[in-house]
Amino acid sequence: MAETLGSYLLLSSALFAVGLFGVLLRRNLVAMLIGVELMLNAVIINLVAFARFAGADPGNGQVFALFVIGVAAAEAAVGLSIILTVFKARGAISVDRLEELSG
Amino acid sequence: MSLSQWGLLTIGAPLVTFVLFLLGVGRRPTLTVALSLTTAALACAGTWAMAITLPEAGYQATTPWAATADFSIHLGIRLTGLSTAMGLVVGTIHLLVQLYSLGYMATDPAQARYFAVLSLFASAMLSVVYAADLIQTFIAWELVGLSSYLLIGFWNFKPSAAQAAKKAFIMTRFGDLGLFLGLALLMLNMPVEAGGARNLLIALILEAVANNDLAGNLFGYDQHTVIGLLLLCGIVGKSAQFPLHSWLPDAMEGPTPVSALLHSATMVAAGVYLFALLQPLFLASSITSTVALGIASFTAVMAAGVAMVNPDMKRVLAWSSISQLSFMLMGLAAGSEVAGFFHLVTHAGFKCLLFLSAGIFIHLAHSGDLTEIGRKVGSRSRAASLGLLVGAASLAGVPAMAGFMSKEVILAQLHQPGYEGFYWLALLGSAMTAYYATRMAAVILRSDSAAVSHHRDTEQTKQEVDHDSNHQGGLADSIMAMTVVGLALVTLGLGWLGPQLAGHLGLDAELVAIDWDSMGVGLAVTALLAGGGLAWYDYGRTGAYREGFLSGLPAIEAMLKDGWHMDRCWRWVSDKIIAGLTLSALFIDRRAIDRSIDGVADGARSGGVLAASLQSGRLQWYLSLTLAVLAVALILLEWK
Repeated sequence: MAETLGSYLLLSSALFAVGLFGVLLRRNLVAMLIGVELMLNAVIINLVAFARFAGADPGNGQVFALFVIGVAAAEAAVGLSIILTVFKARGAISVDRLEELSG
Repeated sequence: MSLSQWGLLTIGAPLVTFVLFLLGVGRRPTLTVALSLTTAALACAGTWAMAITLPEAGYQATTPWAATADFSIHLGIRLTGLSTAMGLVVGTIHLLVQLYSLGYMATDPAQARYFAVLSLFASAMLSVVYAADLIQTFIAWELVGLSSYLLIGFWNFKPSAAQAAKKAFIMTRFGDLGLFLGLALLMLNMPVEAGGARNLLIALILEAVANNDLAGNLFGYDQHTVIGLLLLCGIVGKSAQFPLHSWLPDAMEGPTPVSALLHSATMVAAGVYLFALLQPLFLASSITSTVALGIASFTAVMAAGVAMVNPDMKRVLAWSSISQLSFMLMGLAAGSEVAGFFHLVTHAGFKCLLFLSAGIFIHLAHSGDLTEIGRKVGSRSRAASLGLLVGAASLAGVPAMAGFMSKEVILAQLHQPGYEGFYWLALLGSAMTAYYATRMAAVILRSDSAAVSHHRDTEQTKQEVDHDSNHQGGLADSIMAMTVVGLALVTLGLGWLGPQLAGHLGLDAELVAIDWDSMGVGLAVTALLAGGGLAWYDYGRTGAYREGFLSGLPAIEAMLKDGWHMDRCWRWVSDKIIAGLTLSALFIDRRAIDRSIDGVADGARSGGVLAASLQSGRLQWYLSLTLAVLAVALILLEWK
């Protein structure tokens, strides 16, 4: 496949869609977190691709990517600790069990 | 002391008692009673001092109290012959009643409250009497109403007393509504004073009436007529004239000394006094004065009729007061400057005397029923019998007694062309008065002469017994007896003070002179003999049947005993008309106001339910929703 912006975007959107479906359809909180990570990576690919093909200085996009990876790591740490606490409190990490906020 | 200081002392001293009572002195009954008697004596001294040292030209001292750009209200005292003479009556009767109460209320647990409210009553009435500004009169007038409410309902543990107090307060309020409107109209139509503001100083009102400054049209009638009729409403309510009279007989629920004060010098006298005060204003309109005459002459006969058959002593006296007040108003409305007021003074004396005697009788008999009193006490109580005899003779109008002298002046005033109808009504009223006065005295004092004695148990009986059962004799009784004897002596002389009174009012003594040879006196004596003789035949003579001649006419007797069904009429008004208004208001409230508020609440609730259904609590449902919204927003943006 030719190295064009379109192919990168295609890859990125495929990855985003996979992540989105993971978030929306999986009942397991850890799996949902993985879905979120996938979506973040899709965004990173987007950023780097745009920087590479359309930006004046490709370095900008790469710096952004590094930042996002750092933030994602932090987010995963927080998310996992929440999940751990939920598991300790409830004995389960399925979102089906967490419906107390029903109006 | 200057006159203004005396004025302040007279009005202020009894008020101090009441205020101190409220501030906690009331917890010490003896102190309150002592304070109350002291201030009553001070006030009485003040009224005498003001009456004696009154300068020829009168005296007025005012201080502005509330002022706006358009209106100003003053507080102060205005001393004239009329106000000082009235003040004298109020101050003296108040002191006598306080003394008498010392005996009558000796064992009452709420003695302190009684004396304190009595002081407030006197202070308010003295303020009505000496007021320089009609607004001040009105304020004091309402205070008089309030304190009589408190005193009528003094034994507030009795439902009937609470009921009677409410009735007195609400019925007089009907009249006061008219009075207030009248004052407002008067204020709006007064000539503007130097400062650009209007006020209701009595002196200025009288001046404006004299200068014809109030002439003008209001709603198509002369201003004097409209204002006069509205003010008359208040007087009719206060002085218990038809149709607002039925509160007064019920006011007997209060302690007897209260009735004595309320019937003679305060409360009901306030209405007549206001009429006397503003007499030129009322006389300026022939419609107003004729209406006043009509109401008064009708009431005089109507109330006397009820007094002829009522079995209860205090109620007879109450109906008699209504009738006598009508005589006063007739004298005033017929244009005499002194007649009505003279009768007010003598009536204050003999009616107070009758009530104080009634208090002793009721204490001893433990009943208010005339027959019962006759059977149990009769003439055995010397002081009360003396009081009853002097009082009843005066009331009936025995020549040379106080009531005769003043009533004769009224009758002479009415005995003029143009007043024929009213004159004959007044004569009829006199005959009826003689009948019930003789009946009352005969039933009580000649009880041994009765052929048949029957026992009627009235409402009053049971109520008074509650109070009497814990009463001890001794000092208390002798205080009461002494007061009654003293007042009886005063009353005997009161009738001969007409010329002095006229002189004090700045009028010619000729006005109260009685022409003993005239046909008027002959007619009055005939009326007395007819009424008194009939009552003697019915009740007094040895072997009398002790049934009024009216018992031959059961329908009329029943109607009279029910007070001409007036209470039923008012009941009908309140049940049908006022209740109808209430029901329609209720309908509007339920159907319109409640429903619209319910609608708003229901809308909010169903909106809430709708919104709540979005809150499923499922995380992924929220996410999907967010995504859907974003997608829709994106599509819409792209389309643009």
